[in-house]
Amino acid sequence: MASARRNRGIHRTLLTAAGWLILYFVLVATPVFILLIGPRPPGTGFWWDVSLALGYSAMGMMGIQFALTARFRRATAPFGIDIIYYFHRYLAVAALGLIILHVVIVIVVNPAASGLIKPWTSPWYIIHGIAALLLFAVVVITSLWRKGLHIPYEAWRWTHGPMAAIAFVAAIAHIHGSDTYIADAKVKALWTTFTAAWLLLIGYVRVYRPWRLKRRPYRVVDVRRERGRVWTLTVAPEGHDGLRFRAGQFAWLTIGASPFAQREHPFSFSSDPSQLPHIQFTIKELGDFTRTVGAIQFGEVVYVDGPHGVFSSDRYPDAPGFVFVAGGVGIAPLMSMLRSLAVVNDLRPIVLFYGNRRWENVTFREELESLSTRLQLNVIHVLGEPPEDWQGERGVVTRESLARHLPADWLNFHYFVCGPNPMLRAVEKSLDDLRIPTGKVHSEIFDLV
Amino acid sequence: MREMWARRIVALTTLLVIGLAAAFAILQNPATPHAAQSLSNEAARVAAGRTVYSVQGCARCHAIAGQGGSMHALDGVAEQRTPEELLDWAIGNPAVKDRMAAFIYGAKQGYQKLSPVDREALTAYLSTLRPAGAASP
Repeated sequence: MASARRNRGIHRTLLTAAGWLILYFVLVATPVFILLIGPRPPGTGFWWDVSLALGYSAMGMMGIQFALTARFRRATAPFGIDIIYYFHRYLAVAALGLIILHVVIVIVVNPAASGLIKPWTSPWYIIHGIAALLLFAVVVITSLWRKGLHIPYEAWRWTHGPMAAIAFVAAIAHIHGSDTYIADAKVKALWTTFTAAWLLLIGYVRVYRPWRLKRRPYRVVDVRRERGRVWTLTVAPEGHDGLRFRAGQFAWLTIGASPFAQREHPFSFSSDPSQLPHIQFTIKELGDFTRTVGAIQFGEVVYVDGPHGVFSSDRYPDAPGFVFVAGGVGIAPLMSMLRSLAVVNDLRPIVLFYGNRRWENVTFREELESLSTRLQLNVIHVLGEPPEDWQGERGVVTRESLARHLPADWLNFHYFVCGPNPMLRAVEKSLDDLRIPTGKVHSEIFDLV
Repeated sequence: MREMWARRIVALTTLLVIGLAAAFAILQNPATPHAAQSLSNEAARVAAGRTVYSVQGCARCHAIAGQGGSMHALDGVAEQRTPEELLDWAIGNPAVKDRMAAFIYGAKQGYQKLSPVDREALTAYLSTLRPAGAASP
């Protein structure tokens, strides 16, 4: 009975995911289908037409990028919004590659027409095309290598969207100026609607969503220092009933700024839903913004855009048990789940592998000890720099250390992994080596840019 | 694991887009024999010229009856230029170098490689282009 219910749930999620994927591929193909509507002029040569169709399709892909980061919960739920952001990154690289291919073909077929030899003698729409290409390249490069280029997150966040929007508008101007294959009024109207729809999404993200957030403020009611340069921030809704979330989910948090300023950062909830309307976030001093968390004042206004993500043990009520793997502050969403499981006296077996560098910096060490007495919880601490008399696991979480402590029936357990990206990938690989089915391994990528 | 799937879907998207672009180009440019080497009559020459116009991608920049690029409409060009001038402008002969933008003259140099038969056919086709609304060839 329970198994049938679980299977129905999985099938529903898969069907929803398939539906969104089909819609995505339809949107990718739409530009070429728009070109095929209505009367068409004669061909302009095979390679020239390949180049044009690539340009139109790449525009479609760039348009989809605005939808991917609009945080539509229904669309992101089957996949997890963290991976949608990764997908956004990969798709940008592919779209930029296709735009470059579009230009390369133009250069090979007719070098002078590309306008790259003497841009100053080119028609305005060629100059717009060149500007769009350069801007898209800057947007992609500054996103892929933000840290290497020493660009502060907030400066990047401020410029990323507007630069992408300007590049998109310049590319639209390039297409309308060249007027190839969209001269027919019906085709032009369809193409204009298709591209304008993506621009409307910018309005949704930059104006409507911040406006909605602004009407639902929260106030800081506690700032507590934890072990290991980590702070727990407690916020409470002001003038509204707050949000509902599942243990393990996350939100984008704006502190000390208006939601319109786009100075938001993603953090996992570390409290459990029984504490609502109070919400806790556990934040490590790592980057430009997080270094200032300790200075946040009681009563300060914050804005919470959430909940997001599908990283939650609540979604698997029929799982026989759980294995949690955390690296450093990656413990935050797992603490939320453990607290939530303790509230309902859930006695399914849980093993927590918790990697840290030093024993004295293990965040929530004492509370985990206490939770071990209330839950069937076995905490395996893995230390990178253990004290001399340390008897436990050393180094990092490996396939061997996992195998040493996994309980009986471990193949049927659900696995939740959260931590820095290199650790995440290594643990996912180890779990794959141990033949854990992919559908039972859930991870949360928190280093998005 | 999910990252791997994200990469796979992006790779599939890229292949889909390249495939669609190629299919579109094939649809727009059905295989046509090279302009007939021997043109026995005017109708055949004009038809061959239309093919040259299409294959050489003249519609990238030029429009006929509202179809094609926006740089310069060719409707009525037959009444504005002699056949010799039409050819000079079409393939960027030195005679018209000072009368067109350097960018355009540069772009036209690629058409200097057209064979004499293709040049003749293209000129014949351009010579049939009457003003928009007039009887078309």
